[in-house]
Amino acid sequence: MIEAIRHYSTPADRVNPITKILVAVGLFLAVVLIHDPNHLFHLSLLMLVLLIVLSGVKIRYLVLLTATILFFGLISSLYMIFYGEGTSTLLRFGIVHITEESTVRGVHIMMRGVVLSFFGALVVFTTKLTDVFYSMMQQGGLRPKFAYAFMAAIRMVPIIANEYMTLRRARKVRRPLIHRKYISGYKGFSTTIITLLSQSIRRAYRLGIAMESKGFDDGPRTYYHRTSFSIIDLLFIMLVILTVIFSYQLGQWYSPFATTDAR
Amino acid sequence: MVRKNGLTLTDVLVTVVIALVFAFIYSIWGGVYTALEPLGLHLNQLLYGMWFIAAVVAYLIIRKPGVALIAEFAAASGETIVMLQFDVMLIVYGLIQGLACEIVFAVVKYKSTSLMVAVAAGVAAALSTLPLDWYYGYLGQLATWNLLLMFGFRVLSGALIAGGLAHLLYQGLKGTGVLKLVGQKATADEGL
Amino acid sequence: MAIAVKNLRLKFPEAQARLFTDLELTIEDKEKVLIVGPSGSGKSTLLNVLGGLIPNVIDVLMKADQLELPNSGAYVFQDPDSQFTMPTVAEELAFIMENRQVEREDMDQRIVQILGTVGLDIDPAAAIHTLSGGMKQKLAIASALLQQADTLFLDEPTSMLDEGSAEHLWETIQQMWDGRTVVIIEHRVENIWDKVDRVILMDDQGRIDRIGPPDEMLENHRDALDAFGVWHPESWHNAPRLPEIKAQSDVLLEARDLVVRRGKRQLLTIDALDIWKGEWITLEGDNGTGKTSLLLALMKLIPSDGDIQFKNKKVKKQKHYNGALYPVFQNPELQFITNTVFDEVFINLELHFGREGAKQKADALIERLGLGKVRHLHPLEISTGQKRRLSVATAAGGIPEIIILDEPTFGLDQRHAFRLLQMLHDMVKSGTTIIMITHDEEIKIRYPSRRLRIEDGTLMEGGGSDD
Ligand SMILES: Nc1ncnc2c1ncn2[C@@H]1O[C@H](COP(=O)(O)OP(=O)(O)OP(=O)(O)O)[C@@H](O)[C@H]1O
Ligand SMILES: Nc1ncnc2c1ncn2[C@@H]1O[C@H](COP(=O)(O)OP(=O)(O)OP(=O)(O)O)[C@@H](O)[C@H]1O
Ligand SMILES: [Mg+2]
Ligand SMILES: [Mg+2]
Repeated sequence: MIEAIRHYSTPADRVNPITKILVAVGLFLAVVLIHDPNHLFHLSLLMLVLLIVLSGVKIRYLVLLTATILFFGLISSLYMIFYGEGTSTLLRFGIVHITEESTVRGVHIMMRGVVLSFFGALVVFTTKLTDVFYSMMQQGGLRPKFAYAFMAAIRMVPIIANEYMTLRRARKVRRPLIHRKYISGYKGFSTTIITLLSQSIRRAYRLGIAMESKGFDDGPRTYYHRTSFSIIDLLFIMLVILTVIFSYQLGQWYSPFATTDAR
Repeated sequence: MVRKNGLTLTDVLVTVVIALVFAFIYSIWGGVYTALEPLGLHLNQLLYGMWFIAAVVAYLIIRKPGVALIAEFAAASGETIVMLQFDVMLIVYGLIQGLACEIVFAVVKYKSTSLMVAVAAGVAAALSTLPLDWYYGYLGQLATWNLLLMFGFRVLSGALIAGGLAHLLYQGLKGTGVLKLVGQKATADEGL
Repeated sequence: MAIAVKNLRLKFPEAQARLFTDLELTIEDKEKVLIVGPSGSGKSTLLNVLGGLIPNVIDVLMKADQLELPNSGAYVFQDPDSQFTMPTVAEELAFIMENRQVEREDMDQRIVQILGTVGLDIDPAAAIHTLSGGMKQKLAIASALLQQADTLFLDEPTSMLDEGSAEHLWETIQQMWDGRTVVIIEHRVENIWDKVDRVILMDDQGRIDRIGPPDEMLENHRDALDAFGVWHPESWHNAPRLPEIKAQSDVLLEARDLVVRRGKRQLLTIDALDIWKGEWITLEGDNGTGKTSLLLALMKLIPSDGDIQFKNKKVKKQKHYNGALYPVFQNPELQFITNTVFDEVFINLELHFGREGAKQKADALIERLGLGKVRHLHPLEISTGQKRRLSVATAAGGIPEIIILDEPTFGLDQRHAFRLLQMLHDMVKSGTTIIMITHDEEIKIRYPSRRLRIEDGTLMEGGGSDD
């Protein structure tokens, strides 16, 4: 599915998924510790550049994605812009009190989300889901039963989605014949979820048995997909670290925000 | 015969599938969550419990150590799987919330399926990520009334959705007979 | 001797009674046996014991005086969608080799080889969900072969397939079963009955009623097979003979220039389709040709182009039918919304007949479809055959004018299938129109007043060219 919107493969494809996840966690910690909005501003821009260069995704999809990320990022920081504390009032309207400080803080929170979303998108575009679990088993010491349970469950998602569609239709056709109390509100909601869950649990149970009947156990095994760490992982880690440092330098050189501490 | 304690493959599989079903439902109704956000009044927090309802439901069904944690991890990565968005923050949060649930379940020794336990786990999970939010979202710099609103909504949601609703769904599932297949079973050695 | 079991007994957790009484069974090395019996008699459970899944994988209490099992068994299960772990064909087959710790270097070549053995001509990198049901079951057989098992256990492997694919699958199985012990459970036995060495008939108490070579079973014990409602190659001799009913003269449903799509793919184009009051129509076509999609389009449940009129009124949305057109879906589970079998039937009648009238009618329907014993159970808890009958019961209250049934006899035993056909006949007689999808040749040639067939992306009158 993802392959369809990419137009070239990139070195990022060859980075071990574990590395990507660890770098993501590191980036999360870094972003939480950065309080200078100028630093974060440049980091967001550089992340966007990394996304464009390393994802290999066609540009029009990236434009769409960026717009979505910015939009949702803005929405999720509105609480701070509207109700955050601050002294230099920009606008007061009922309970809403927008100040300069709260706006900068809100934008700062938004940029945190944006940085993480850009990096997250890069990971999604360059990583095969099965490889994540294969490398977690081979390099991360994850027990096979967890890895394969995940992979098997993921295979069921489209089936569940299909089942949900049929469920919706089935309800639609019964609607004219029955009293609405059986199908609307909480009743309708809970029977939908219960049916969906019940069917899925039954299916998972059968699948679990089928897997074990095929000789699966939690013991030693060989691997069809081999993953390993390589020099590329090191380069990838350095690239992200350098990006964080370099964006700090850029922040010193060009500062769109007057303050250097969003707090 | 061999009795297996600890998690079997089927236990893990069922847990992950439950979490993914919730992730799927959540991704369909997720729009509601976002639609409530622009007000900034934290109405979205009323749905916060949906994030860890999977952990409580999975625990009620399987009742073994580790299930809540796996469910939370799966629900958090569910967004990656269902909607193709990878969000580290979500995964970190999921793990913390799962751990909070585990602690509550460990206290009752993975035995009780009462409503109170479900509610306690829901509230614990709701509170568990506040410190991180405090730091990430600069909550200390928020008007006090607004902060209390967020705090209250979140705890309420944890109790009602992750606790109450999870328990109702568990009861409903029991009615469908599917729970005879999975989870910790009472040993009945007599009768042969 | 490959398998020997003496005095097997077993109890499910939370079950009141134990399953199996004095069960004794021996199966010779390289023997091919077919197990038949009523639904719920314990066939699948027995198979799981013979292959060692109980108690190693399924935690069930079990004892036996003697239990000699094959060294290695492999299964093919009923539902193609809940037996695969991995997204692609190659990865799925590799999964089995990984379990057996086959070296990575040897895997690719073995994958190609085993796909050849079962006659699956596909790219190993293909995603499993793009395969048809028949191909998925072949893949399941390839998996079983890769396990290098000396015994194969097949639990209704063809029950989700159309006639052609089922026949083809049995051919494939026979080509590779020399040198292996094969134990088969199957409802649809016409392709396999005379190919096996022995047939085992189980009764509804979890006992083995009798065992014998297939021809002898058919000659001497046909009444026993019939008594337990089990399908056998001559079942249709007992089928109800129903007089054909002339359709009435008013047109109910008219479709013009219908184009049915699924996603971006155009499945079907139909210039004109008229459906009359009191018709009994069968709709045929191979798996995946779009039978279900056509019915969904007629119901306005999926988007389609063209004109649909019901009783001379244009239908734009599903709700314009106002319940007069009622479908029974392929997966009955998804149609249920209440907590008991009784309520499920009752609520459909309640608005129309009032509480008391609806109660009586619901009771009568439930009895008629043999669901009396399970009326208080949850609809999701009952057996597959019972679910299917229940979903028919929800349609049969007398309100809908056209009932659409998607493979209604699927998974039913002989007795219930015949009873259902009788009931459909009565409904048609009282003026209801029936459209049913079926893969069953015997039904198609016996009952409908008109046959429709989907072929090459369009709808044709009359039966298939191959019968
Ligand atoms: N896991 C389980 N827990 C409790 N009861 C069970 C379980 N599995 C099966 N049963 C019960 O055991 C009996 C035998 O079931 P089994 O599935 O073996 O029947 P079957 O002959 O294969 O039926 P069918 O033809 O419908 O597949 C049934 O009454 C069923 O309800
Ligand atoms: N939700 C969907 N989205 C896209 N394509 C679909 C969807 N459901 C089914 N299809 C495709 O449409 C085609 C027709 O499917 P349909 O279920 O109508 O066939 P059918 O004739 O009823 O088959 P069967 O005999 O297996 O029931 C299939 O190729 C299927 O892959
Ligand atoms: Mg069975
Ligand atoms: Mg169909």
